[in-house]
Amino acid sequence: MIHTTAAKYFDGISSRPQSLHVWCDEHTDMLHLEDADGQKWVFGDLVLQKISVDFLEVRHKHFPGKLVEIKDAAFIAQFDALLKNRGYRNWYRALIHGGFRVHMILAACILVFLVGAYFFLIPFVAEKAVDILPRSYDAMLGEKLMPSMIDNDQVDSLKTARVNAFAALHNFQAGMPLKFIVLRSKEENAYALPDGHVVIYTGILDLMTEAPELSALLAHEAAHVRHRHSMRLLCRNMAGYILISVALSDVNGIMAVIADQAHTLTSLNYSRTFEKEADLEGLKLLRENHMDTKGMPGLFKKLDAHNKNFIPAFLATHPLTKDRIEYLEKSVKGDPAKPNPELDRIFNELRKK
Amino acid sequence: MEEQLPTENQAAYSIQFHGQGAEYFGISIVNLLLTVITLGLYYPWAKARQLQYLYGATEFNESRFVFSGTGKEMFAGFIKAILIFAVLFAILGVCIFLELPLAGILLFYLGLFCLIPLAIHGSYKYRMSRTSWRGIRMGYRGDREELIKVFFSGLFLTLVTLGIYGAWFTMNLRNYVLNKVRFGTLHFKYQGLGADYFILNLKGYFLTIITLGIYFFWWQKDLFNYYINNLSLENEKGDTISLRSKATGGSFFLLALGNLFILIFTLGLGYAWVVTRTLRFIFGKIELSGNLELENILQSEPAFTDATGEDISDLLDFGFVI
Repeated sequence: MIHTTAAKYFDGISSRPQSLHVWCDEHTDMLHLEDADGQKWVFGDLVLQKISVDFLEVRHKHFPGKLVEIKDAAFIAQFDALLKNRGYRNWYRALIHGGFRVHMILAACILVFLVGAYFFLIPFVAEKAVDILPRSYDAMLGEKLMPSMIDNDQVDSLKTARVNAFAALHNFQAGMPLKFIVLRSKEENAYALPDGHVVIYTGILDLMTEAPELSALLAHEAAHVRHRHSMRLLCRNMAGYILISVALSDVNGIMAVIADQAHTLTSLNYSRTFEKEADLEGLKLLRENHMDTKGMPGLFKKLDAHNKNFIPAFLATHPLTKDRIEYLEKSVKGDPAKPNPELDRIFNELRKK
Repeated sequence: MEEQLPTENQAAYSIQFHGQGAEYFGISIVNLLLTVITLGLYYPWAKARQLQYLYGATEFNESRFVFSGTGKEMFAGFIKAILIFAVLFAILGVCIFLELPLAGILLFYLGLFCLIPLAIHGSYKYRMSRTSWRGIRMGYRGDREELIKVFFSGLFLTLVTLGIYGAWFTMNLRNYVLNKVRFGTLHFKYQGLGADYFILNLKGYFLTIITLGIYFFWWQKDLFNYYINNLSLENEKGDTISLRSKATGGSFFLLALGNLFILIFTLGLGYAWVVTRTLRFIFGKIELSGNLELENILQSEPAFTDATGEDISDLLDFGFVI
């Protein structure tokens, strides 16, 4: 039996404090409220809130409003120990009262877990998701994107026909038919949509001087489609955002903003990985087609030289050009030149204004 | 039986926040851990733990506030709220599928707007019924239909007047809701005027621009003071406790600056200290005075259990409304 202590009691009817004595009976697991009609509260029905070492609030599960305030540190410590002994102290209280060090360790563990999930779990899940999603989803996604990205007035139908004729001499094995569209724009850019549409701006075409450069660009874009880079990027981004919003939106704004920024950076990096893959896979395609590979580094040198002072859109999300030219040149070093008069003929037609 | 305690000095009330950053950090971290492990399902329990701590740390005349809501109650509300949002998104999805994206977006936002008064009503009703002091519950006696009317007429006029009516709208809403809050046999009184509020905001807005943002903290101070200074508590005999804020623009500035530094230098981990610091600031700036006897408040509000509004307001991300 624990010693008796004085406490304040509120009966749930009025806010007037009543003085009473409480004591615990460890044999029956009951808290006795003397003077308050001799109430006995079973330990299992108690709702405890420890405000501080010398302030404990006791309520009863089934009598909302009834409240006992105990302000006796010795009694509270003994009562705590008794509840723990009798098995009423649950795991949650153990966690909460673990102390600052335990909480810091927990924080570190959560952080490590989240970072681990972000770098290992998310890419894994995203790749698996892409494998499961049928190709027809890529086509659907592309169709949805198409109208918003292409202004019909801009389409250069003559050049579009010629680029398609040029492409027809290659076998890109993209997994779906490729449709090339040439748009009139000074921008030196080209991109592939997941449904097999490849958009090329006249800006980048005007920069080219020989057929292998165009072959290289087409092969690069075809590799994007073939390896479903858009879908992979989308899946990874979505999975990343879901993890960030679920795990961090609960914590606070600043943390979420930092995580968001980091996520943008890594996805930029991730898309650079895709660009490198498209470069190398593009070269492989050219070799399989028995085409000249020298156009690949050639094209990037031109883009680089032409834009000394700013980064053209095509390069912004791409591997740093110098690196890129280096690894491409290394890769094509041994490749023989493969003149192809048919390609040259179409290319020259394309160059005509 | 009853021992007569000395009656409290009728003119002295004190309100204080005793929460400690380190303690609240422990609660937040354990909450985060359990939320991550359960893939978010622990959220309502986390919220309950958090509120229980913050209420328990708030002292009014030597007794603490109690939040008696439970995770279980809020979990039911949480599931309902998620279902409501799922239905809204489903409608949006169906409209996009039927190639009516505009109609879908319109319906979606209309649905969201309809949820706001319901969320205010529901969250007040639940939160108040779970808030008590010395065993006496608070309660919200507002009528849902009336609130919907106040909300939509205000929203309409605000749109028509290109936002100018917004100040009157806010005050009407606040007057309606706060005047329906009971604390046992006491009731809250709030008397805000749209014109005052409009001028306050107009002045704040332009001076903030002119001073390149510096006046912002004084603007916030004005808004805070306008909230607190117009609030009072009254019993059936007409005895009152009135609230007065002694916050200054400078103190708001220091609070915000301190909070910003804590968040940046701890990469957000110091959030718990930001919360406790801010609450200590707020309660430290409120003074209470009056002739109301605190010992004769009687229980008058029934217990209420539906927590759906509480969770909708969470999902809509407007924490504690108004």
